[in-house]
Amino acid sequence: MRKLFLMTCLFLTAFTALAQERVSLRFLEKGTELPVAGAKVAYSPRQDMRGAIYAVTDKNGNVSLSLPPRGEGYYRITMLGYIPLSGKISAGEPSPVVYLEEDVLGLNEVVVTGSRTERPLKRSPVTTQVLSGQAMVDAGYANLQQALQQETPGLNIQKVGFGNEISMQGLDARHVLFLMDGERMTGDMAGNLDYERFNLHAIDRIEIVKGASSTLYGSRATGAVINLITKKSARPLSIDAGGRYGQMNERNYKNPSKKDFLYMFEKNADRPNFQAWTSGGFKAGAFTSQTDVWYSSSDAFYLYQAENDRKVYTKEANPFLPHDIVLESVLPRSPMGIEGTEHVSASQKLWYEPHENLTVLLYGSAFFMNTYDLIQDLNFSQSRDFTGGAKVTYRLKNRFTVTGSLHSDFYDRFKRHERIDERLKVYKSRIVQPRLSVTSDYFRGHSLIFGIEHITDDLTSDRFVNRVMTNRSLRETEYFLQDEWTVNRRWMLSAGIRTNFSRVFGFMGMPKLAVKYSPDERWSFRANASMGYRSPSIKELFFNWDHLGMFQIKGNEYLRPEKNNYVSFGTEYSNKRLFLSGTLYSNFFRNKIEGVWRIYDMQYNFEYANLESQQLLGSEVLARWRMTDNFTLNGTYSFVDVSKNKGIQVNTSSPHAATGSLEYRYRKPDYQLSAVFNASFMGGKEFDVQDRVFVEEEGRSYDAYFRCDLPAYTLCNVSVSQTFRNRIRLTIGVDNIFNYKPRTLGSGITMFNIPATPGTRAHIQLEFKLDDVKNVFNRKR
Amino acid sequence: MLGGLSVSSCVKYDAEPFEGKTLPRVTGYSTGVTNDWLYFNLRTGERFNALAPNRDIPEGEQRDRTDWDLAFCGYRLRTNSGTSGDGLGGAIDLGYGNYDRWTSAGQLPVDAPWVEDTDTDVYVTMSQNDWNKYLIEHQLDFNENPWFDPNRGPAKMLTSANPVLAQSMSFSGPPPVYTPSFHTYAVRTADGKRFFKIQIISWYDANTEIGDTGGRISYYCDELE
Repeated sequence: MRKLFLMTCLFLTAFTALAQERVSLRFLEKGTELPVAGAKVAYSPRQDMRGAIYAVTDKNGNVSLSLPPRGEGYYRITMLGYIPLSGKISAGEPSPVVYLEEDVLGLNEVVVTGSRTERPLKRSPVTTQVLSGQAMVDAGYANLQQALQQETPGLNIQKVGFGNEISMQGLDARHVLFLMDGERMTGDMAGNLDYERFNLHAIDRIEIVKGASSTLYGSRATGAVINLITKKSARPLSIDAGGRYGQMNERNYKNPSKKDFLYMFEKNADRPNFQAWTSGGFKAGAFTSQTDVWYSSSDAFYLYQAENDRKVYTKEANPFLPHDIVLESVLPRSPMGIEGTEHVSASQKLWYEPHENLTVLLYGSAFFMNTYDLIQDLNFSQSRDFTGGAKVTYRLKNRFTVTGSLHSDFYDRFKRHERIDERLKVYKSRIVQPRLSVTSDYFRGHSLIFGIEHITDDLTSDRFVNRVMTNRSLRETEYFLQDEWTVNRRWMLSAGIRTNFSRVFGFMGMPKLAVKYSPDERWSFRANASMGYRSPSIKELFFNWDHLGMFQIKGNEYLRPEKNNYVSFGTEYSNKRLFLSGTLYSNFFRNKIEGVWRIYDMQYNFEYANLESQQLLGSEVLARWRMTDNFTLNGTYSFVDVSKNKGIQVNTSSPHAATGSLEYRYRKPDYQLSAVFNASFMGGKEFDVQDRVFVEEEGRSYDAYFRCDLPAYTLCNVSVSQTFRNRIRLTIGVDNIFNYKPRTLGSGITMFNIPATPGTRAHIQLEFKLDDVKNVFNRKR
Repeated sequence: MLGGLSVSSCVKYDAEPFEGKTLPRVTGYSTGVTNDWLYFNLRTGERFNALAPNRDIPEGEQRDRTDWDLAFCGYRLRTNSGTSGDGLGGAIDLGYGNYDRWTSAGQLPVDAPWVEDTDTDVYVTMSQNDWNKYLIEHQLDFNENPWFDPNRGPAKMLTSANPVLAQSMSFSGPPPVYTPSFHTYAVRTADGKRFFKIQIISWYDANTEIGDTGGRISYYCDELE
């Protein structure tokens, strides 16, 4: 009887299998008719897709589905960068070709930063701005800094004589947390990293979450988190390579001679504006690999100020003054040197996915940079960085997923002699961060994440004790818990808390609460209340550096972490052609850490201190309008009001900032054309700078503030790309087409607030793309 | 691959050895003396105050002497003329670069306006010692009048120096940056009979150590026969 039962089962199974009919579908990109490889296809006999089975399109965009004879089925295809598509297929009909449309509005992006788990952008309770890596390359940007400045309202990355300085809507680099694939980096100077580390061509997308995100990301996530998500190959074998050549910013030296005392300096100041990159990836069995290499060099140039410095000490900012005092410098302002760089970076990632429940990722990167400043001191700066780590993710059916990771970053900076082959290490920084997190979607409607992470932060510098390399370190252990609860199709709640413990600062708790209400597919309303914190950096705590006997920069071991409360309300509207998003926010800081000049011991001392509160009130609007199939218009606007302290505005932000772009795209098989015009507007700035002024009538000097007025400016770029036979792309672009040059460099120590542009400059870029290398070689044979 | 990537390995040290001159010591405010002048007799090669400030020619005594032709204090220069000395010295600016082009006195422009030293045009950085003395002398508060101001730099005072040679190097900061103009200048000796050309090359000497604050100026100086 048992045998008969088994035989019957086998027969029925075989019959069912035989009775099923295989149907093939082919998915191509609309316009170019390129196959869409690696797309996820769900198919089910039921229209509501219940009990769906999943398949993935192959390199030719094909997928084979099993349907009952003369049966019908339903499919839904999803792929990053394309609008999801659903359809019906019937057994016995010829294999159809389905065309997928590009997701120009970016509404179907999957984001990870706001939740720490992958989630469609529209379903994220936290507003996230997504910049596509491909779109940034299409726009002709030379590097990440330029892309972020042109695409993000109120964000300014200023190159200064000794590195970069970022500011964003009233906050500086110390309040903007940069992450690479969710991991933090080290090697910063006043919060600013070497942004040259980031290879624009290796970036899949950038996710920007404004506001406090310390619940998920800890210290420094007080103003914004900028998470750079790198690419992962989806093809069996693909290679991209390209080069870019730009006009020089400024020719500083003609025909340097080996006899010249500054021969190396002269050569390095005029490096070509050149970039070359290559990316390679393969997917074979359980292994996926992605390799990215980027070389870039740029020349140094000067910014000039035609008029002498002029400082206005207002009675408003300095009530003790008898009247406004205007001082005009008798000497012309020296030109400000903007350094050139030469850098190379390489990254390697290797995934091992033996089955759908286990993913192992090993990654590493190396970065080397020479920074060629225009200071003739027989030194230039070298930096190098190595990152490495491993991440193991194991999914236990539909119950939970465990991820364990270890991330490390090792950064060194050197001074290198320009006549003698020697260098001196001046800065060494290391972070090691193990993390364990558990996510679970087991409970209906709930997406839970619990994590533990520890950070070891070591810094060795010659600026702690008597110019001798000395080490200082911080250790922090943190726990975080978050639940995202999809109450129903309309309501979503996200609540979380992070606790932080360090021996120095003790225990802290950082909660957050976010709510999203979507009455229909078009409208969403979001509210967010969260706390952020920033632990004082090692430099702010321990710096003790005598600047050539002129002034002292002093850390303060008694600093407390600065904390902030962030509240925002946002609304979002989208349809097939239009996306609109508006957010109102308030960011209230307590114990904000600032450097202030104080006179004692007969000298100026630049000292870090917890200052009083500061409030930022602002709004932001994002818009994307697909006017026709070919034209898309983007616009963003940001307003921020930073509170004054006793009539003094020390914050150097402009209240108004905006960006805009107009894109034209024409796509047909074997030829694509895209043209992008973009503009970035920064409003006028008015702020007060701490100084000292001598009052003639009273024969004495006072601590006083002078007012710095910097004019509004707009930088506009244009870029035109043509792609031939889907393999070769030629891009020609012009930056700063209206030749804007700042007419003032700002007075005294305020020189970090004007755009470092040499004026109009053109570039040309050529890229080769071999998506399917194996087929290319086979065809040749 | 990493080795190949290292940019540091691409740094080529192919400059030829520096064949110019280097000051024997740092001069100026950092020695504790504001008017710390190092004197040269270009005719004989003799040097004064080469070992310590004011040891051979104390400040003020240079006016009555004609055994020096050129002097350095920080990045300022004197010739034996005008308010600096009783000699017939002076300087003219021969323009940017072209140092090797000037070989003889006959090439110098006949109607060149030789500029003599003055005491109303050129500032030197005051030493902290002298600034403190100034504060005491004028009964000024130390904490209200620090020597260094983050917006204006260190305290300065007028000195007797050559206004044309003052253009040979400029200073800006903080951070302190000394930038030579790379102009070639002609200097007339104290006896008014011989001529030398000079070009300031760098605030640093060719073998300066990394992190050194400089001051031992590198320069070219040769006679125009």
